[in-house]
Amino acid sequence: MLVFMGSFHIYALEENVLPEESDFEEAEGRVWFNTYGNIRISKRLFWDAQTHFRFEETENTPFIGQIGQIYNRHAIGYIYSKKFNASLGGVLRVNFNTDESSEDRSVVPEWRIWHQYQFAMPLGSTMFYHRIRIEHRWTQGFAENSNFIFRNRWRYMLRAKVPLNNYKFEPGTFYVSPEAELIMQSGKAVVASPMEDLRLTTTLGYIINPRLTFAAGMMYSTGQTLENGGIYKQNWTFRFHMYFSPDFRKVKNKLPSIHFND
Amino acid sequence: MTSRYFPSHLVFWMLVALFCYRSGYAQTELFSGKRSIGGFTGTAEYPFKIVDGDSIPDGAFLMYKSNVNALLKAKDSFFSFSGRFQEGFPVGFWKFQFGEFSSNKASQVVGYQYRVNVSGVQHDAFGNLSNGKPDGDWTYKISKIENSEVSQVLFKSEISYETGIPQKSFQIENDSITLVGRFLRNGFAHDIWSVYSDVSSEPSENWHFDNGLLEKIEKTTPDGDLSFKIFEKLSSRKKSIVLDERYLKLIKWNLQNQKAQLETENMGMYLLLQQNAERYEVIDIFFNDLGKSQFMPSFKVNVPVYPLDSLEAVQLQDALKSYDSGIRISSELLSDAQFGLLAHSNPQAQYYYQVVEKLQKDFLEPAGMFLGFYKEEMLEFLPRPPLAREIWPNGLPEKRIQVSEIEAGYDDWGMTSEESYTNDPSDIGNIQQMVRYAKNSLDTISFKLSDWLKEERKQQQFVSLEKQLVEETKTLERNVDTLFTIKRVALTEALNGILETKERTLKTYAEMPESDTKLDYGKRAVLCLKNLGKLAQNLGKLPEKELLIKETYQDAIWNPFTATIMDEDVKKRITSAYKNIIVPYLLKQIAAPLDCEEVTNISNVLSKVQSRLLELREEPTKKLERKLRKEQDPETILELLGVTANLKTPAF
Repeated sequence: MLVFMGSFHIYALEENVLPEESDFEEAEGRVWFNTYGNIRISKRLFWDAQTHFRFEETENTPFIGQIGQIYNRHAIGYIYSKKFNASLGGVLRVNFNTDESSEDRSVVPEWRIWHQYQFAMPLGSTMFYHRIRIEHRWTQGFAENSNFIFRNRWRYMLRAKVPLNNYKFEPGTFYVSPEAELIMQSGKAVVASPMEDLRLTTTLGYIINPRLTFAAGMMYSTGQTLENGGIYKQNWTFRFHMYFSPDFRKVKNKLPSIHFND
Repeated sequence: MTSRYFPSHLVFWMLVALFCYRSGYAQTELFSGKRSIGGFTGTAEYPFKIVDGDSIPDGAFLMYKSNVNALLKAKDSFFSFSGRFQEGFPVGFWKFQFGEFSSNKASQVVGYQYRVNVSGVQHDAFGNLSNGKPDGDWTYKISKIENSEVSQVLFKSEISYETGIPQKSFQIENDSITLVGRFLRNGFAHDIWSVYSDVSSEPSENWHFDNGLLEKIEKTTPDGDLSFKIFEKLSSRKKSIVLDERYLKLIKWNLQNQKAQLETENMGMYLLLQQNAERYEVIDIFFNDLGKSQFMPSFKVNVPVYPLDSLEAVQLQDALKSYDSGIRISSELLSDAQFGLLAHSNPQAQYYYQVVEKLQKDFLEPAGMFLGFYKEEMLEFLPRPPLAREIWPNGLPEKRIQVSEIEAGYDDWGMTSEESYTNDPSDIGNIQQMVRYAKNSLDTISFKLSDWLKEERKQQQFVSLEKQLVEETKTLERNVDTLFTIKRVALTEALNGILETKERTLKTYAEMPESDTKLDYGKRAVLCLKNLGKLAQNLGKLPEKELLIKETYQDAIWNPFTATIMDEDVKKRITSAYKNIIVPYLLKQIAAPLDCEEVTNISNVLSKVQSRLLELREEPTKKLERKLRKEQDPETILELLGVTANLKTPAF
């Protein structure tokens, strides 16, 4: 524990005492540019390739802010049916030190193994999705020679997609997608802050064609800081998403796989 | 030594003689197989010779047909003929058997054979022939068979011949009456020929012949006995003819002329002789189909003759020609519906109609009756004055034809012509002139009427054409009206264009002066309206077709982010060229509006481009799509799609 604590900034030690009341930090602004690739590689397998660029507001860079993290999330997914798929893969997150006064390293890597189980539920013209994602995560601070700490993340997301100008999802359809995700964490380092993040998002999407969709939205998130469970950080995030799903297989292979179990 | 006794030229002449002998008497061959002779088809077996390219039967002859399967199934037409030919002539004993049997399907085994009972009718004919002519006794019998036994004799004729000439007494009977008669050795009917009915032993009909001349007919009727004198023994010249249909017609005329209430067709004599002739004809046709024969019996009779001189023969030929031509014209005119209608409304037409009617009824029809006797070669056996009196009781009609009162100004018909005749019908010259006059009159009338009737027919055509135009217009307007419910500006404009084309066509038609050209234009206008109707229907189907094309050009694609299957439009350049360039272009053309000549073509282009689009979905179209990328000209696009769009081709 001491080793772990040593890797943090010195004032963290002073903050380690739980406050009398929960302390909500002032919300920070962030902008995320996320790409989601879903590349079909066989009848049932696909390559999940996501690259996210996350910007954080700083004092000198107020609006879009400066780059905070670059995500490289990859996995091999298995399509069990139209309504269920699962993925397993790894993440390399590159964390940038956005503390302008810090003398520490400006870039550190973070490693994850993740697996995900996603259920789709049609209800009328609306689609509901349940996503369970479990991540095994190795992180380190920006300080020189700081050690990796290991945590598990337990994520559940409920998302809906409601077509706005159509009765079904088709090219040219606008949809609104409200979602709520609760991210819990566990691990030796997690003492009093199991709720890492609660994300409430709404995006507006537009399907250009079955292989390309763009969406943009706003997310409010809050969660306990690792160093003090009584302190809650808050964020307002602008999110911009691009979803692409190319299928390079030959036409004759593509067609039957649409109906997986038919 | 040899050359002395057998000179070489002698050997040569012997060879020539032998060659001539061989070629003159051809070798006999055997025919065995299926043949069709005289209406009978079956297996034939007979020897024949080829003489001068003809095959001539020579030797024993056999022909037969029977089919037990057909008999057991339903019925069987069978026959069996046997006899002999000599140099193509039937000779010796001949036997004919034919008929139709059905069976009750019950069989019995007797000895080593299956026996099946049959029912039906069997004809049996047998007798001798000499050189193709009946010789000796000939019997023809028709029996009704029930369960393989004769139940009734339907017909039987027994006649004796001597080389084709009937001899002695003969007997012909059917199921109700019997004719008994006698011939002289030279074949002439003689003595009393009597018809007996089954119900009485007394004859019901007696024909008294004397040396072939029929003197008297006696007939028993319920009203009493009748007796008619036929030919006078001591009268004019006589001629021998065959007792056939023609002779019976002469007797019929003779009886009619005496006002005798006797129908020859119902007389026993007539019936039986006719039946006998029909039976003999079957065998005669058979023999003549195969070889040479004179099987028909020649019952000879004498009749008075009133010969025609050579001038009369020429006059009759000419009259016949005029009659044929005249009756054709009058029949055509009287059956012309237009002429008939006109005669009801127009006094002049009525006048001509009456004249034609009279020419046919008073001039031609009686002459036709007279000439009919000539055609049937009966005229020279009929006494002319009574015949003429019978046909023309008041003499020949006058050239001047009186018509019933129509209106002032219509005189009687009378044509100045070179034909002249008196009203005496017994002079064939008069008849010839009268018929010729009638024919010439009809020629004149027909000529006068032809232009008039043509004009009338045209008027009638206009009436019916305009009726059609009105109907087609109504149909078109009704159909277009329903399509206005489709709310689409370009389509509405095109439909208005269709109505505009219709208006223009009708206006052009209405403004044309009455002529053949107008009639022709009118017919094309009807077609144009029909085509416009079809085009409107095509336009009505446009939304439906567009949907079909849209659906055809869609692939179902899996979208992993929505977890749904999505329809994706493919080959968009093709569908967009159709939807955004071709359809608006065609609609604009239709809205322009079109000329009638273009209607069918534009309709075809629309249909063709639609079906072409449906085909292109499955075809490789990379190159086409590339070419379509920047192309905006609709004509070029149609060409690229492989649709010829020569919109100006006249197709109506």
